[in-house]
Amino acid sequence: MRSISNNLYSAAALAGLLVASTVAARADDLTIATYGGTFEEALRKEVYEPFTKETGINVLADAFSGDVGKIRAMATTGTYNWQLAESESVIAAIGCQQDFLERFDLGRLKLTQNDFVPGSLIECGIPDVIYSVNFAYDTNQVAEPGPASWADFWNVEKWPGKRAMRKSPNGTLEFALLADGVPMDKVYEVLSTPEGVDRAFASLSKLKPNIVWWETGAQSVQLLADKEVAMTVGWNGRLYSAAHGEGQKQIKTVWNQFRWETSMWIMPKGAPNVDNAYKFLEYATKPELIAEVTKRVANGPAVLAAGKLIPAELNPELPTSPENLKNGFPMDVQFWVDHQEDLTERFNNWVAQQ
Amino acid sequence: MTITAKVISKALDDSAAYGYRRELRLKEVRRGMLVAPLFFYITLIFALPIVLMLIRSIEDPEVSNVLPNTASLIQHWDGNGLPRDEVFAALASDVKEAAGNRTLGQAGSRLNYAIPGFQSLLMKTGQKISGTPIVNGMEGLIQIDRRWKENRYWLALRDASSQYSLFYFRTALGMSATETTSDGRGFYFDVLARTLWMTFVVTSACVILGYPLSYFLANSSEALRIKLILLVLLPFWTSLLVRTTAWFVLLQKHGLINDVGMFLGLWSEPLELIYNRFAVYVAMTHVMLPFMVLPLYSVMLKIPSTYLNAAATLGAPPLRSFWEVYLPLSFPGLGAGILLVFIVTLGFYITPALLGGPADQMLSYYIAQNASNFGNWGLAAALSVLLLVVVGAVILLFARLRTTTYTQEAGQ
Repeated sequence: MRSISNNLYSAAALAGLLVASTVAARADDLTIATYGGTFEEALRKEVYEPFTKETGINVLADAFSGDVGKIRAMATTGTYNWQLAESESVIAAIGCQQDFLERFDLGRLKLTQNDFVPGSLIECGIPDVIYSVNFAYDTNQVAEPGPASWADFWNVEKWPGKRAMRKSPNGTLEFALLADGVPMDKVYEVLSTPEGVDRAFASLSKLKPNIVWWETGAQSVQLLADKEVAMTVGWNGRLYSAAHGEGQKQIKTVWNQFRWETSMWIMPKGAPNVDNAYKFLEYATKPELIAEVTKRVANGPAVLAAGKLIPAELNPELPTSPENLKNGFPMDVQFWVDHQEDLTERFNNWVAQQ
Repeated sequence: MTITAKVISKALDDSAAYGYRRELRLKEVRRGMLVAPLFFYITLIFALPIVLMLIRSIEDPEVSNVLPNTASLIQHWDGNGLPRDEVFAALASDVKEAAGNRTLGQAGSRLNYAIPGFQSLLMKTGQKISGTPIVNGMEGLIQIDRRWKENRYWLALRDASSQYSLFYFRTALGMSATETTSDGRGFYFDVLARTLWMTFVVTSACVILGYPLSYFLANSSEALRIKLILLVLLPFWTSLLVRTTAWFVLLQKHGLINDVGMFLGLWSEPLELIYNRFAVYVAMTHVMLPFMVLPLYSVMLKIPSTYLNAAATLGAPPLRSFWEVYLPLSFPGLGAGILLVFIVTLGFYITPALLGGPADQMLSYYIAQNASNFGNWGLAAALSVLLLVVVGAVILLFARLRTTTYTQEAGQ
């Protein structure tokens, strides 16, 4: 029975791996999970490395997948893969309400609410940057003047070619309503009603034959770079670094009707080495460091004092610059806390229908 | 021999027998000790998690733990209109206490599974109540949010008020009592049907491709056979993820197949080879083929070629001798192969996730989604139990089929 012995081998290998991973971290190390990509690279260069030099605390990097279930499992079983993560605000809000994330003591960070972009701070999340979801297109495939709104993104007659979108209702439904003529400040009001959800799906259905779905940020820019699609929805930081990559000058990000949200540091409840985590947070929220990270990844700083340290030429690329901010809208965090699951289920069902 | 001597000799015999039996028992225990590590390992790593999962799928403790007074009172409510004022009052005091303990969110997330938006209703109510000294029952709650006037929120509360329930199974099978989303109904049922169908297709493809290959292997010369078996085993020893990624490289829009085809002028536009059912079938069949070939081959190897010669001498044409002699003799291998392929394929996750489109995901994908992404462990457990039940049913079906075949053979 080769299959059984094979399974046992892999189970044994897995067990070995688990043991190895738990003993790998030294007790005084700090493990920090992020979504990876250019953002983690920027953090490592601008924050982790100088932090380790200054404090002697070793920072280990882990992958964060935004999985609520995994964080809750850490807090309930008391086994922690990481102490800090750089997370979306929805997860921070869910974790706070379900009490599996640590509530931060701002005093220990020598910060107050007024140090952050208004409305960005929550009990369980220390904001670091503000990022956005935009769409970008390939100027080699799309005739200029290119699309400038979600209605244009939906217009495949004028600008033919496939569109890549995130395989998630989060963001996708808002953009579908915007394409259908709902103004930015009414999007969540409409989406809170059953008719509004129907309307969003009806709008999406019109574009469906032209949509390619992606699941990771890396895929979104890859699809565009590979010319699998002519336009893609993506995170501004990813789009920025893709457009500044080798031979990718043709990628153009549209700064109209984009959705912005705060990304923040979170800590699972009961995590060990709280002191080190606080030391790190105090270090990482320094305006000059956030400014350096911002310069690398083109996300807007969530710490107000950092805003002044950012060179003006970067402004057209930032969601928080005055000229861009007025053309975007903030994500309604509580809406997605309530509806992530039911709308995901409906979305999956809708996506699966041919 | 005197009677005394007889008694003594019997006693001696008895003690010898006793000693011997003792020896045997000890031997048994010692032999048992050999498998003890495996036994504990299996219990701990395999059996226990399955039992826990079974329990998890019917556990529903959040509301009765977090809102205990409301939970016990609301069970007496008949479900018409609104519950009595004392239920409102109980909820108000329960919510206030839970908001203080920061446990309210646990009940909120469970109720949100029943009615999306219940979470924020509960959190909002908790926030408002914490500030006020006393909330006077019905009016007070309705003043905080008008949704407390809606029957369905109270029905959802009642539905969630016992420690154990079939709520997650009802959700999994699309029979949710309170939720009325028109599109979501029966979603997981469709997924289950799709999973079974895809498994069936892959198993059939493995039979169609694997049977002739196994026959060829079993009937080729020793030297060739060893080389060919290595070709079957080599992919078998390669990681599943690596093989799936290899198919990704081959099938993608500007992958090897499309580029070569377009270079040779066979087609001008890249073919859609990936993110669809086709890609999933191709890769899964490739991954599962060794599971079919190996048992088939080992059984076919033992079928003496003299049987077929005998059939031929008795005047059976090749097709008939295959149908009546070879095929029945290969049944044990075929059965084992089908069973292996079917059961392993039912649980496929990574291959459809990487190569399939949204409509090609199997049940495991949604189990993972609920367990990791949403943290809805109850639903994940219920879906896992469904999968387990299907696997159990398939095994039972096979066991029955085999016994009937054997009895038939014995009858002949």
